[in-house]
Amino acid sequence: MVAAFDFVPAIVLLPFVSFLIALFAGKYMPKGGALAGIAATAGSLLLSIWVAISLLGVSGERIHQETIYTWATGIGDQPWELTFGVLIDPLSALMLIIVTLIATLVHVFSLGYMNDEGETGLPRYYAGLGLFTASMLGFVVADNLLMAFMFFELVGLCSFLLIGFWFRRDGPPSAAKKAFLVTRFGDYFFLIGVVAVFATFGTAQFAGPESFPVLAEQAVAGDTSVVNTTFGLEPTQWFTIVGLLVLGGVVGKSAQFPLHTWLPDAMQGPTPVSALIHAATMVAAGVYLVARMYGFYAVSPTALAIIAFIGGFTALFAATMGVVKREIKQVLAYSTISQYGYMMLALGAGSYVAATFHLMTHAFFKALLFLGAGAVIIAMHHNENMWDMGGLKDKMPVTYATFLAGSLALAGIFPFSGFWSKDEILYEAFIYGLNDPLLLGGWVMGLLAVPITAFYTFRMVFLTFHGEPRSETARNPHGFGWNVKGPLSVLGVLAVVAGFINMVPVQKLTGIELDFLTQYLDSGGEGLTYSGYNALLAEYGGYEAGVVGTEVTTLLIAAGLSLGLAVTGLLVAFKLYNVPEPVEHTAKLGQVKDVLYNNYYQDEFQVWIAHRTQSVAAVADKFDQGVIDGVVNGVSSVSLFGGRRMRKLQTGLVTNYAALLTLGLTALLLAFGLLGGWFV
Amino acid sequence: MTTDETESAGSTMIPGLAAIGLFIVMAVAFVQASFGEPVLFPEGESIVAHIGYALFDLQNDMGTIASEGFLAAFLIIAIGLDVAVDSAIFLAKREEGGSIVSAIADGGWESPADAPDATADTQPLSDGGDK
Amino acid sequence: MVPPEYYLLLSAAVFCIGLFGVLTRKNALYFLMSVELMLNAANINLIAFSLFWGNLTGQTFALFVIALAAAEVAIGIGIILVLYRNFGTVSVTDATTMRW
Repeated sequence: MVAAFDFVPAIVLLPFVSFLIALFAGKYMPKGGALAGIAATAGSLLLSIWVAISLLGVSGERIHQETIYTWATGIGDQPWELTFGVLIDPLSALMLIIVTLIATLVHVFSLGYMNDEGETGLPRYYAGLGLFTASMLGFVVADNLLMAFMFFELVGLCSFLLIGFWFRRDGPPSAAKKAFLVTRFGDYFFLIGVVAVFATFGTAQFAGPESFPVLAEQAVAGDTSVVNTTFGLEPTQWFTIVGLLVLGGVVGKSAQFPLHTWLPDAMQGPTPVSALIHAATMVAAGVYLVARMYGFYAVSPTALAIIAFIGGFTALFAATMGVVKREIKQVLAYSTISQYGYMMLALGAGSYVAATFHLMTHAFFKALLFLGAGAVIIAMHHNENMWDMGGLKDKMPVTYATFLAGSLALAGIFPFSGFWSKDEILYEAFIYGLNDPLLLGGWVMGLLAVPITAFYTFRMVFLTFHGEPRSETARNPHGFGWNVKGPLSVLGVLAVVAGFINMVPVQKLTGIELDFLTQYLDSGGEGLTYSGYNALLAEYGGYEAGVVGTEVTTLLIAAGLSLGLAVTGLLVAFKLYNVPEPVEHTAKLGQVKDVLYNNYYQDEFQVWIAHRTQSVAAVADKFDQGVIDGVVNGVSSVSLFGGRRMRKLQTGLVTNYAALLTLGLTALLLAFGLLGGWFV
Repeated sequence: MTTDETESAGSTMIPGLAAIGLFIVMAVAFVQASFGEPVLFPEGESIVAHIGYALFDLQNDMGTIASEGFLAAFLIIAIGLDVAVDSAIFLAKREEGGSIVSAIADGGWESPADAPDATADTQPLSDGGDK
Repeated sequence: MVPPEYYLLLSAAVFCIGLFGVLTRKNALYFLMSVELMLNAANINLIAFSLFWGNLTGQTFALFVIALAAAEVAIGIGIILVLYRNFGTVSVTDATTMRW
């Protein structure tokens, strides 16, 4: 029988092949290599679905780990192996489906957004998309931290290439550089974390009896012989430090405070790329990484609490900035930061399923919103200012309907998908937060972000689609074909129904089994299951669910609060902006508006910090110029001097060479003769 | 070609001392060396015939004197000599006005660029130069 | 047979005479002749020890050395021609451009 798992490498390689095709043969192909990309990602999607289904099978494996290539082996009594391998469990299978689905739809949408708009450089574009997808898929199936790190970096590189796609304009190259440098700053810590994991455990495998989360658990349980901690720290303290180092990369990639500044600028790239970055690849990589090595974080509750707090803070912080933006994509960018904040909050609150669930629903509705925004941008002849739009709903009904579905999901309105996942996050944060003040702080901030999210989402919807057209282009929008409407419709349906796969609140109220996703994620191999993580959390993290009254009242309070706040935000937006001629209410905010509009001066702050570090850089420069360069220059001048003397030997005169040869032979013979006793 | 000037231009005998030194060292070593009993060739066999056998790898079938087979070396040296002759001719060619003029049989070779009108001359000429 | 020491001494003498020529002469044509002497010194050894060990390999090898010498002379003459064309002389002291 042909097993689905044999085809896992093909899932990664197909988009890579499309990258090669688009790169080298793209200009000879119709559509600039788009068809190859669509075929490859669609093939990967089918394979991913097959893999995910075979995990569900009754007799099949619940987890599949395979080392494909060992590219370095250490020596000594603790030989390390650096390998490439695949790890398929419910989490990665789910992620594979998300990534390949979004990538396929983005490829199709690009036909409308790039090809039909007559963009140049299409082979480069499709090559970038292919490599981007391939590296994200490689990251998803990675079975060890080092391989994950490599693909993590590849993802960063591809985002750099794609954000800077229009490199002849002013904005995109600098936005690409900013995205690259800011994420690289976080990855720097991640790299140290990878090395620390290797140094501590001697392995970086995610799963299996010798994996580092298992070893970490043994060490915390008292068997410290399996790890080498550094600086004489207790295992828990050291694991917290390592966890936070890895978290550096996560914060950079998932655009969490304070490294979120690259994401809004990344809007300079083509809109389908934004959809890919925000929904499936790049940004999702950070959250996925934490979920992947959740067993490790589960034994260091301090790291988890910090994750939760950062997440909650980012959710609120980014939501406030989204309120005042004028450009449709800017609003979406801040909503992404905010939503990933929720996922981090969920992970920190110990709710691995809720984070994965939200990652999935968010991937669908955010890709939908970005592609919808892309459709609007096509219609508006690439004008992104919402104040020039208005009244588009009659002219673009498909886009309006799907965009509205995505917005309702983003705002967390019942029964759209975002409601279920966001509600589960807030519920989990709430019940565990009752026993942990830091988590409770995260929950409060997450809850406060709910009405703001609903407000800015519907401000965007009303400004774009409702009211009277406020510009000439809005009165006569540009049309587009099936390749725009198709992906929108698929995602629109998913944004509505994706939430139904894990209706935990309904299950708790009625007792019907509706938590399919939870059960799926719980079906993985040993040590990688949801219940396994919960046991770890309860044992080492002191995570304990609190209740207000009974469980049902707690549930109702949490759900009611979040839904009520979301509806409030929606109504405020309705009141302020669903009028024929909306005005800029932001002016009433006074100076607060400037602060928000300038993103709390975060960019300026980072530039200021960069200038403060100049003296450090000057010392490093002096060291570099004086010591490092000095040594190098010294070596070179010694060899230069020696060479200048030695070259006199090379006279160019044959006789001299022959004489030297003769003398050398004579000397050799004499030496051998004297040592060997030829002359006795 | 050999002029007095070349020979008299400081022809010194001093480097020759190195050769004499080498001879002394070798001579001392050889005189001191001891050799075993010689084996010699068997009586009544034709040495030249056996060399011929060795050149064609027949020494095991036809000969009685021990030897290696040299067929491969024989062929290689044949090609090597051929190459040597060719390269000697190549080195001896003169270049005049950018075109290579054959050293042994110069047929007045003209490159097509020099004579663009001559349609019959446009085909490249081999270095035989029979034109 | 004559003791092998004598062959060796003869061969060493011929070799060193050739070497002496290479070291003291300036004319490239003398070089070719000297190198010929040195190659034949090696031939003397090959043939002497071929007889000494009763093995024909040495003799056959000497044949190849003679062939190689012919090839070497062919190339050498060609090089000397080029030398003369480029430097206007066959003296090796003037062709010293391949140095530092």
